[in-house]
Amino acid sequence: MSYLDQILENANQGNIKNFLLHEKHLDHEETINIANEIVKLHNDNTFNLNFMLSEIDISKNEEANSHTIRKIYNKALSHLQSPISEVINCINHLSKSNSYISNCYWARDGLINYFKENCKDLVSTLEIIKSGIDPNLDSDLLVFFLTAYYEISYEEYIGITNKLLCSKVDFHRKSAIESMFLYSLKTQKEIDNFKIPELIKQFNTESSENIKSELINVIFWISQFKKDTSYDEVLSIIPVKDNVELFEVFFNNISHHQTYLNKSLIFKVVKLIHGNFSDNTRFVANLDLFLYGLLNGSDDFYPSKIFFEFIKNNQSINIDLFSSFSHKIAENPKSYSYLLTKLFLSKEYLLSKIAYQLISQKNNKNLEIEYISELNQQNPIKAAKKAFGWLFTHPITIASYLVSILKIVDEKSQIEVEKLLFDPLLISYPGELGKYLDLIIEKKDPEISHKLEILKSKMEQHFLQLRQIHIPELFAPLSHYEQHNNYMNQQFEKGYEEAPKGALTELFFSNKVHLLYSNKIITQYTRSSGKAVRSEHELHSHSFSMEFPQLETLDPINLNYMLYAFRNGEVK
Amino acid sequence: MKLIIKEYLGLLLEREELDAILPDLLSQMGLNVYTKPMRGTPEFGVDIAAVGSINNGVESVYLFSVKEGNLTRSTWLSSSPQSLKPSLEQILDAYIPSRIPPEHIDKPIVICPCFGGDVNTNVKQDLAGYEKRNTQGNISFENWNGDKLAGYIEDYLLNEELLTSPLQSLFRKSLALIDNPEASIKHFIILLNMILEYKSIDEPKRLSQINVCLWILYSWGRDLGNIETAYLAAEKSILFAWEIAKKDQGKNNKNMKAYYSILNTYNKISSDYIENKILPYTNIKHGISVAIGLQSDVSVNLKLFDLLSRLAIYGLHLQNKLFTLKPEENKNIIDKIKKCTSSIKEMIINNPLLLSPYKDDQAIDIFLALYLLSYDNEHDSFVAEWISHLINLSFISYTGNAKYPSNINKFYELLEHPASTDIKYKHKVTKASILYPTLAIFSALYKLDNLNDEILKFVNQHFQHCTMLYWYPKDDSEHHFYIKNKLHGAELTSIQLDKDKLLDQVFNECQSSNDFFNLSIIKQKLEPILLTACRSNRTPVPLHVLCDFYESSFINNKETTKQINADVQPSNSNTV
Repeated sequence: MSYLDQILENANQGNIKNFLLHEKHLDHEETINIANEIVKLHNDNTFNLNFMLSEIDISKNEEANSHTIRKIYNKALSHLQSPISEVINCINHLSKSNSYISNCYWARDGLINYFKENCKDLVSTLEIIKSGIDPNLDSDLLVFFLTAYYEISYEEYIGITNKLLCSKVDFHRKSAIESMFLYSLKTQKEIDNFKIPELIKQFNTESSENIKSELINVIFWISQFKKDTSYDEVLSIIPVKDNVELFEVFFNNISHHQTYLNKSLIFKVVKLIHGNFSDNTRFVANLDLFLYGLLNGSDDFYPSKIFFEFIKNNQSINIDLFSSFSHKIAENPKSYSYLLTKLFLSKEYLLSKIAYQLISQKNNKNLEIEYISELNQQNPIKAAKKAFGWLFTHPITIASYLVSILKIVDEKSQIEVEKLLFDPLLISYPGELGKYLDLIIEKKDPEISHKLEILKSKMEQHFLQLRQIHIPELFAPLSHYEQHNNYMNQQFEKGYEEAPKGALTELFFSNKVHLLYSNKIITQYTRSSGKAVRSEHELHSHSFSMEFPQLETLDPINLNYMLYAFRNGEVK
Repeated sequence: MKLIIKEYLGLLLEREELDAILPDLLSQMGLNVYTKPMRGTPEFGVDIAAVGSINNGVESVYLFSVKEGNLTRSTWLSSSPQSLKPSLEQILDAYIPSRIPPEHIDKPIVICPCFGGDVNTNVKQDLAGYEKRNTQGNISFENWNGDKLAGYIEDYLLNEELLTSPLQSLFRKSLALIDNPEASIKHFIILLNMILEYKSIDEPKRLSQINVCLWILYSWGRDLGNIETAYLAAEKSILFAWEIAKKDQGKNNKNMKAYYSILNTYNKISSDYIENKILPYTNIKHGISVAIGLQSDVSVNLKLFDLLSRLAIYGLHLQNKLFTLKPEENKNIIDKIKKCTSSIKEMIINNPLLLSPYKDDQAIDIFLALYLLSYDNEHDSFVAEWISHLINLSFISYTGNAKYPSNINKFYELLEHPASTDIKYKHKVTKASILYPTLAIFSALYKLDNLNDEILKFVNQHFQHCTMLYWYPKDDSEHHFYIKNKLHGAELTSIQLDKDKLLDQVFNECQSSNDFFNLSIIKQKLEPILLTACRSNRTPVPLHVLCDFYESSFINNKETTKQINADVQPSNSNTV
């Protein structure tokens, strides 16, 4: 039976509502087909779709089905012949029970089309919308209406928005501004309709911070299309004094519409952010989301630049709040290296510490980074030492960084880098780094392979010499070994107890079962069907290993002093 | 016990080693040893000559020709002058006709080929035939092989009456645990204590027992490839033995001779230890540290400072020996001292934990090393740099809450240290210090004014809670210095670290606390033994040993001082 037949049958039986309630998983084509059939029936007065849907207690339906109903209605709206009041009531009803979105954005396309189809009633429609239906929907409805109006006649649209901008009702002004942001301006005439000075004037007189930040977005947006725009003039509207709310809303908006905005302009905006946003988790979450999005498909350094500019003025930030960004940027080695280099080149201790925190967040001991020489500020040796101070416990990461610097510096600096690579790095991590150097040497990079071969052989000679010293008289007393093992066990136990809840080990052992005499576990349980089930599993041991830096034992105080000094940029 | 002794005799590697024990044994057997082993070729084939009666036999002259190990065909007869047969012929042809003291000329002469092992089968006939042919008149032969020597050692030195069953048991435990020096030395120290208390046996015999036990421990350890216990036992032996021998201080009797035998054994062991176990590795970056083990920095730190003072003590013994030799005899010793001091410097450079003391009492090890280095002003710049690093890293560790020097002595607590960043904890573990006064004293002696200023500034800023002190021996020290069974001496507190007052204050106190000069070991001119006691018993080194340095510092060249001060700036230094 075809959809139409099914719908007709259900309609004849007065069951169209039940049909919609049970229809759960529809693909795009099916949705369109059903919507078209339902619209036909509605327009033929077989039933009133708006009334029918308004009777459904959508909150009692499963989320998937509610979603399907909204999708069908959105599609149906384009051709629905209904008074605006019925449509708005129905949208209001369907939006209210939406548990995860409290707006009518789901009906955007349908409503715009509906407004366009019913353009003869636009004036009265505008009045209905302007009068307000529900605070959650008013702004969106008006934006969609204006969007539709723009497509019908942008001249008239300008007139309406200008009037709305003068309105005392906040959502009128907000919607007028937001609607401007949605357009891609194609012709010069269109562009000319939007006047930056007017908008700046509006900004200066606007009382709502929320609307001000929307205005900034719009001004930035439109400025991009105007060849003669002075960004300085545009940026001058950003208040010198901190305006947390403004930036908060700005980034909330751009985090959702980031692809529309010019990255260099956002970078300039971020440069203007001063003050403490460290505790403003909502703002940081929006910035994190924005940067995450910006990293998607971005092959330039703007995400890194913007992040750097922000944390430069907010150094006490908890870097964990940037989890999306830090996760994403680690997948983009160039951007990551750019950011880290910038952080290591900065004079600020806390900024270098943020580099360390970023790397530590990404639990990848084989992470390779490189020195980016495309920065204005150039001092690879300084960056090398700073990075060394912070990343000593990430041997491969710091080694890769030093190797990249080795390639670009002069002979004198090369000696310095080689010295760092050998002692303390290779001397501390002969195992991990020995293998890593082999990998780089295999690549036969003419600039460095030979140097690394020499370093590797120096390291091998050093350890060969050490291995030959086997003097039982010099061994530490046996009691030291016993006590040290006890001490380490105690430290690990403490560490285990202090491990955050939800840590991997916690997940493994959330419901502890102890085995005493075997390494296989037999479990028996009864399914809901009453069937007894038995399963047998072998337990496998899990282990991990890491190389402890040898210098932590051989020369801990000097090593830590050196790292401390490097971190602070104090040692030449 | 006899098996242990026999094995020990078989393990002696050189003729000198058997020579070392034989005169003591003969003395304890009641013989009068009138010729002792000399370096080089024996006197007409005779290494040791003694006269007396063995096992109530006829009083005879015993002439010993000593060879190591088993008697083989090559040691019986070869081109070497050390072969037995030529030695015996020399005895018969030259020694007996001309060298027997006139008062013994009529006594029976027993020629004793002596060797630690056995006579190989293929030489037995030759030896027996030779002895048979030459036995005539009052001349006879008696082979002293390992078995016979072991029997005599057991009967005369270590028998049940002399070395009672519990002592023998302790000794066996010490031998059995030789691979675990920490446990082995505990048993040996108890053994030494018991020998010390065994006053019913005469002193020379007890001293010889100590020497034999030490020798056995050493030869076993050497065979097993670990002489750590032997080294520690040797140190304790010379100190316990002095407690027995000191009543005859200044005399040249059996007691003192027996003591010097132990001292020789100590020197032998110490030389073996230092020259073969430490010196070859000091020039390797991290060499000694890695050899100690990479498990914990605390273990490495403790052992490094321990080894440093062993090296220093070795050098100081040599230095002392230098004073007893004529200038033409001392080249070898000077070379050894130079090697020792350069190794100390290499060791410090290549094992950087020697720049960061973890324990306050490591001041003793530092003192000993500095004391040795102070004999030659060639080391002055190095000394200045080392002190500078010791001071700076100690201060950095304290302010940075790394492992700073503390009064903690327990290993486990040192692993945990610093257990807290709390100031109360810091004060608790740094209640008093000899380390900073020691460093300040040496800085002042070397006229390192800037270092003295640094110490003073830091102490004023952070160590107001800490008692700065130094230790002086008092009249009770003689009884407890060598075997530390009780606290002794007295401590000068409220030391003024101000460079202008410090030296006068601490060295004036040396004059007031002058019991140092009454210590028996000082009277015996055996200062290195006193220093060994300081090292072994963790007693601060009496400042009296630096009195000469203090006096000479008045006439130090100002230019030299300036130069050292210039060298000591840490940022300009890349030596240490």
